[in-house]
Amino acid sequence: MDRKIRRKRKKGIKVAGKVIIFIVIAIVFVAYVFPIFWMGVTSLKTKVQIFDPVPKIFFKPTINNYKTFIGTAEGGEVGAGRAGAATSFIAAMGRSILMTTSVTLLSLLLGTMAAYVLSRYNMPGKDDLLFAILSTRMLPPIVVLVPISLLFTNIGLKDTYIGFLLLYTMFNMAFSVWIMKSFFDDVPFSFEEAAMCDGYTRFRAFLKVVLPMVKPGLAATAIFCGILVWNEFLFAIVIGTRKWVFMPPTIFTMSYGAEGIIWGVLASSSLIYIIPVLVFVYLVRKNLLRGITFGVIRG
Amino acid sequence: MSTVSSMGGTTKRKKAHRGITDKQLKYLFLMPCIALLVFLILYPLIWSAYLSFTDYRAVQGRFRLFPGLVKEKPGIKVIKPNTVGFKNYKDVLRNEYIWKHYRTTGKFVIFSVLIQSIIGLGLALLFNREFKGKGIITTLILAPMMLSPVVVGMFWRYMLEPNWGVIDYALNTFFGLPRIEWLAHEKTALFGIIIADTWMWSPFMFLFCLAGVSAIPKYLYEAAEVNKASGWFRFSHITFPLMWPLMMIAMIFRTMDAFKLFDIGWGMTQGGPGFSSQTVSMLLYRDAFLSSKTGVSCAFAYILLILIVALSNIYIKYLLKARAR
Repeated sequence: MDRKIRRKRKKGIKVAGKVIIFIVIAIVFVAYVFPIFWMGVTSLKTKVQIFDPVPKIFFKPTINNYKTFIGTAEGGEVGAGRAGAATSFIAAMGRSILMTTSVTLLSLLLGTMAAYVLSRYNMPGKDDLLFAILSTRMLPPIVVLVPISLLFTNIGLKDTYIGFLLLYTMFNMAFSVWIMKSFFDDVPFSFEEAAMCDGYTRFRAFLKVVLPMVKPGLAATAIFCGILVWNEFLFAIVIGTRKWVFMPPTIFTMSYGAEGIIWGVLASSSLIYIIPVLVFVYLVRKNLLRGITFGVIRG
Repeated sequence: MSTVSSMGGTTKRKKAHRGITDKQLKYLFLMPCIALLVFLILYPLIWSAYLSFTDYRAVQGRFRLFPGLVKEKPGIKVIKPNTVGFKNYKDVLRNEYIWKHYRTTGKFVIFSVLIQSIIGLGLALLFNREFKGKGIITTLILAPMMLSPVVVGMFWRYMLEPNWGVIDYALNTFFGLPRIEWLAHEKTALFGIIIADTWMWSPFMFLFCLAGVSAIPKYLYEAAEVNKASGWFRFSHITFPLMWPLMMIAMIFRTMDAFKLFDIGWGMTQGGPGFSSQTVSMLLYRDAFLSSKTGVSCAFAYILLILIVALSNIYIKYLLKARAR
């Protein structure tokens, strides 16, 4: 009898523990997801609803904020008279997409090439080069930005497509080289040897045998590089002063109205801006750890 | 190339090398990367090394390292700044105002890394079990760290508003706490940034810790169970020691990142009120680009650079050691 009760009690504790853990996980989940959810909620509110001291989850939604920054609202109460900023949002988005794609492609190309050599060949100063590449990512960007900005002003690269392309590719190099190198390191050299025995040149062996094997690595690297460029703010405000203004600075300036920040516009434009990132994070979730550690840890 | 396979051994070798030789390929593949490094890192750094010894201000006109090399377009003023020796460096190192920024940055680094490590560790222990939807929930929790920091900062500024912000509302209604003007007071502004930074980067610690915890072999726990070890014993003798190396790497990563904080802070307070939440990165940005004290900022940047290179050397050594295992 006694034993039965004890066993029952033990089982009860186990169930209670499971329920508690479930609740805690739910709370944690809500804490992390809430700000993004709240961004969505805020983006659908009117100005009056936003300034309500009792924030509400249920209300009559409006898409006015979206209309405002896309530039179709006429006489809308938020951000009225900022048509210039509003039309430039679409343009900034276009520029951001263009730059993100071009930088991703270029840094993928250059990074893969360099990573292959650094993974396969032994040469003097190889480790130093790898360090040098990684250290570009360790430095606070502002430290090198001061001289780079001066250089760009001097040779006319400031606020140009080429200037940004080179700059962002450089700062993505650490990611693309290190992640790709970790993927190349995983492919045994015997594959190329076998291919070269079949009469392939080194280049062909690289192209036809090794490259297809690191496809997941290419995808992960591309997504990481893309997100980095898409999110970049500091270079964008220093180098892109007039013509090449990307999305983060646009959202930053656009949200400042005459009477403080227009939160509705901030929320709606931010939401549009972060959705692609969320999608890509989901796609790259398996390689997240490897990516953020520059391929050092293969989680 | 299709004919190659039908040929004999020696000719095959020769033919195989006809396209690009191994050596050529090596340099061809590496060249663009090195060229970019030299052009965008080395060259500007040499340049600013020179400027850090001058009284140059970018608004005065342009500076040419090799005057006469390019033909100047009309309307562009080229000046030759005066050399001032180590004056800029002395100024930066003696400036109490700048030292305050180092302290602010240090405070931010210590608090944010510490809080994030604790949260990350706790979450990893919590998530070290199987349950329905674990994959999607983990991914969603990890999402914040991939978002744009400046947008995160701006949105948290909204959430931390004392009058209509949702955080203060919740604290006030559910816990009866007074509404705090997080970002309007010199004492709490930095803490407001730490909150936003923690939301964004504790998932990073979580990811590392989770990888560390789930890599621990199960038989160790089974052995502990046989010996009737307590939960605390299992944590302090198995879980923690085995995940510590990975957690250490994550903490170094975060330290380096927190040290260069710019975006989140700029989105939230722009360094204010006063300069109570201004980190060295923000100060350097202001000095270099808003007040264009170019020569001084170059010196300041160099001091920071040396500091960071020293720090990152320790860090990279640790990383390589971890990789070797």
